[in-house]
Amino acid sequence: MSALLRTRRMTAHNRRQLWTGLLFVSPWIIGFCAFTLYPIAASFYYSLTLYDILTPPRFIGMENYVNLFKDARFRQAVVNQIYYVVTAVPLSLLVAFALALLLNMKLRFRSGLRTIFFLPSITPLVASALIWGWIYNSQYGLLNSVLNSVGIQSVAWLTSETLVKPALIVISLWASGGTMVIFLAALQDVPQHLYDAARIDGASWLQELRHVTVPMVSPAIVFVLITGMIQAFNYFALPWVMTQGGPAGASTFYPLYLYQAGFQFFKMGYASAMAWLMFLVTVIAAIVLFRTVGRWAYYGGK
Amino acid sequence: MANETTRTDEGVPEKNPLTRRTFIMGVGGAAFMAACGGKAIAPKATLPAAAAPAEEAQPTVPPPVVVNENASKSVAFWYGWNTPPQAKAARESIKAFAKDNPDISVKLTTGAQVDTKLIPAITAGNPPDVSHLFSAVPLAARNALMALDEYLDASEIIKADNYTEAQWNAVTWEGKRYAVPSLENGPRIGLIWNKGLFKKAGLDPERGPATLDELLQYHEKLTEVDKNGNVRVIGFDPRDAMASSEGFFQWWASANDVDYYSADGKTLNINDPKLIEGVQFVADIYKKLGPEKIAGFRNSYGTWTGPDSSFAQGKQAMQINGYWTPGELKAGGDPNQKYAYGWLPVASKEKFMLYGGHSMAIPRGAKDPATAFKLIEFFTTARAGQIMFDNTGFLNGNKEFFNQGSFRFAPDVKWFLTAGQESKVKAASPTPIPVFEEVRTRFESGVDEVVRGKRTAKNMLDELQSQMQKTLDEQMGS
Repeated sequence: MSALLRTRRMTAHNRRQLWTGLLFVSPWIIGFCAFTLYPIAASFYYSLTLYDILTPPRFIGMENYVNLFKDARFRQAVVNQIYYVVTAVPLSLLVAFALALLLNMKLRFRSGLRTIFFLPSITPLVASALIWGWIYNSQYGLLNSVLNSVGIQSVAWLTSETLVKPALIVISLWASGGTMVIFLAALQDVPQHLYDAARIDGASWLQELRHVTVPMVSPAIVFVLITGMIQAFNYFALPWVMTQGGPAGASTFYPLYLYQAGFQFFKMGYASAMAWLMFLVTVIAAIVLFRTVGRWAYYGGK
Repeated sequence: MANETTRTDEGVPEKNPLTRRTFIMGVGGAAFMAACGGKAIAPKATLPAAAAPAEEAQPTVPPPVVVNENASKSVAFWYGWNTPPQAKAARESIKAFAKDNPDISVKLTTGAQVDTKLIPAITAGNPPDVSHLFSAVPLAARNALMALDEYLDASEIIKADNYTEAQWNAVTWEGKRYAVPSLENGPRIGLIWNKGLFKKAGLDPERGPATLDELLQYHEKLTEVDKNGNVRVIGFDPRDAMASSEGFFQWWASANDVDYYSADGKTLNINDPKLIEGVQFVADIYKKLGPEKIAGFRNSYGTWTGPDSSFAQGKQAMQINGYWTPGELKAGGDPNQKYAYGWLPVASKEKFMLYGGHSMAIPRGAKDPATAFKLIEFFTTARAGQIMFDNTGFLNGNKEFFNQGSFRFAPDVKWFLTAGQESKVKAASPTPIPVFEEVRTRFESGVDEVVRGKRTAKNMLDELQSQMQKTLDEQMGS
């Protein structure tokens, strides 16, 4: 862009190069404008209207945004979403990091174990939902069968308001294999001489973890935290397939309610307002994370 | 990558611009943009599992079936269901139509997800010519369908008298008819009970409960709970089948002479004291057994009358359901189970029956409505009705078929047909209000809260009434 602004001082050759470059990226620019920028702008406009998709939108200003905060189901969706983000993201990070630490050690069948732990992250979502639906089944599920065999009454994993969110979070933890691979790569990038120096100084395993491993892997931790948080704000498929938002709205997450509003209740304007609110919250959360946790990360290159 | 230093030809250290920090920031930025834009380029190795769009959770739509491929006129028909018997019924129907109409090609799509895909198709200007509808008024009120009065008045096949006023009400908006009752339409409420379970519990298998109090007593006698606290057999689930969500309003309102919506479909009355009483009745049944125990039971068995349902498997003794029950139980239920049919156990002054169901319509933007209407006409005939019934047990809503059809496939459907003739038709189904899908969803969640003691029935219905009336007023421009 600064090149464009300096066009008057550009040579003819530079201008030709600029236009040639723009020509080559024009398919991407056109696609980006048509399929990303335009829908984003349109959704902002629709968020200011009463729009049921089938009839022309009616401008109502900020009324959708105001009505959101009066909607008890919206407030419940927000609370559920915050619960999920604040719980699932750090837990997933811890589980993946712990697995990576274990699988970075010299173990027999290490490659096989790494594959086994990675597989859940590439299992199709609906297949995961079906498997876990059976594991959690109140009457015939694997978990309750084990509990019953030791004399404990069946637990309503997916039909209890208190337990449904933890039950869904466990499924997310089970699928931490992808994150584990990122941490594995980061762990293998830690120079061995740092561990050697620490051992010479008499550091224990925990001290090595705290003063060598974690700082050296911190950029990956920050990356996983931020992208995990963004993904957590988009959590939709598993609750949609497994619980449909129940019981009593306990697993109605923000994207699920957004989908219902836009595609079941004929309230696309309302759903657009929800989407923009989520976008703003995600951006703010990402900025806050970058400036707090991001500062803590150790970048050896600078 | 990070920290590596290269040297120029003169041996001067040249700092590598791509440091670890730059790389991480760049990838993080790309991931952030990807997360904002959708999952197209989002890295897979992040947590939790990526959110997939709802379509990935739906069954796959099979390829369309085309008859009379080279005919001069064509009709694209979206049919909402896709079980083998339903798909077979639809295919045989359009083949029969094609035989009588060699100049019309029909492209049939079964399992067409009409509740999610039809609206975008209409908005995009590329709708099917004929669509199966679960509920016509929400679309009619939003100008998504063509009014059919002109075609209906001229039709020599579709006679208005062959349908009840309730059936027409369910497809009428602001005085115009936007769909034709068809595909699955007829008398839709009665009490069905499992004779074997009744006998096992010491009850007369030929006599169902006559009042709500008796229903509760039967429910307690028939329910079995094992030592681990699991419900093995449930007497009655007041949130199953036609007693659930929308069905609750219909049967409870009919039994208590309550109008829960105005004739023009623009005013709600869903917090009537009698309806509050009804929700409380549901909550009382749930609280006695424990809402989590019943939810756990439901976790193991499906609702309605599918092969995996508690009723079809002999794990539920009583159900409020409609005329399709005999056919569905025959198609997918346990063949050792025996059932009886009777009136709802309510102390209503006069017997009543609900009429209505699904319909066929021509979406706005259809290219050849006159030809499309011919297909709709065909599906209302006794011939098409017989094909549908012989495969699925569904009725097409036409009295002509009710009077002359053969019901050997599921003889027990005759109870509903006879009951329908003996009783007053009190309510239309589906409820002809443009926002009823939202009412239904919020009501289900609200009842969940009531049965778990989080709020009272009055509080829930008062809030629902206020919220939904406001939404209705806004959306209809009142």
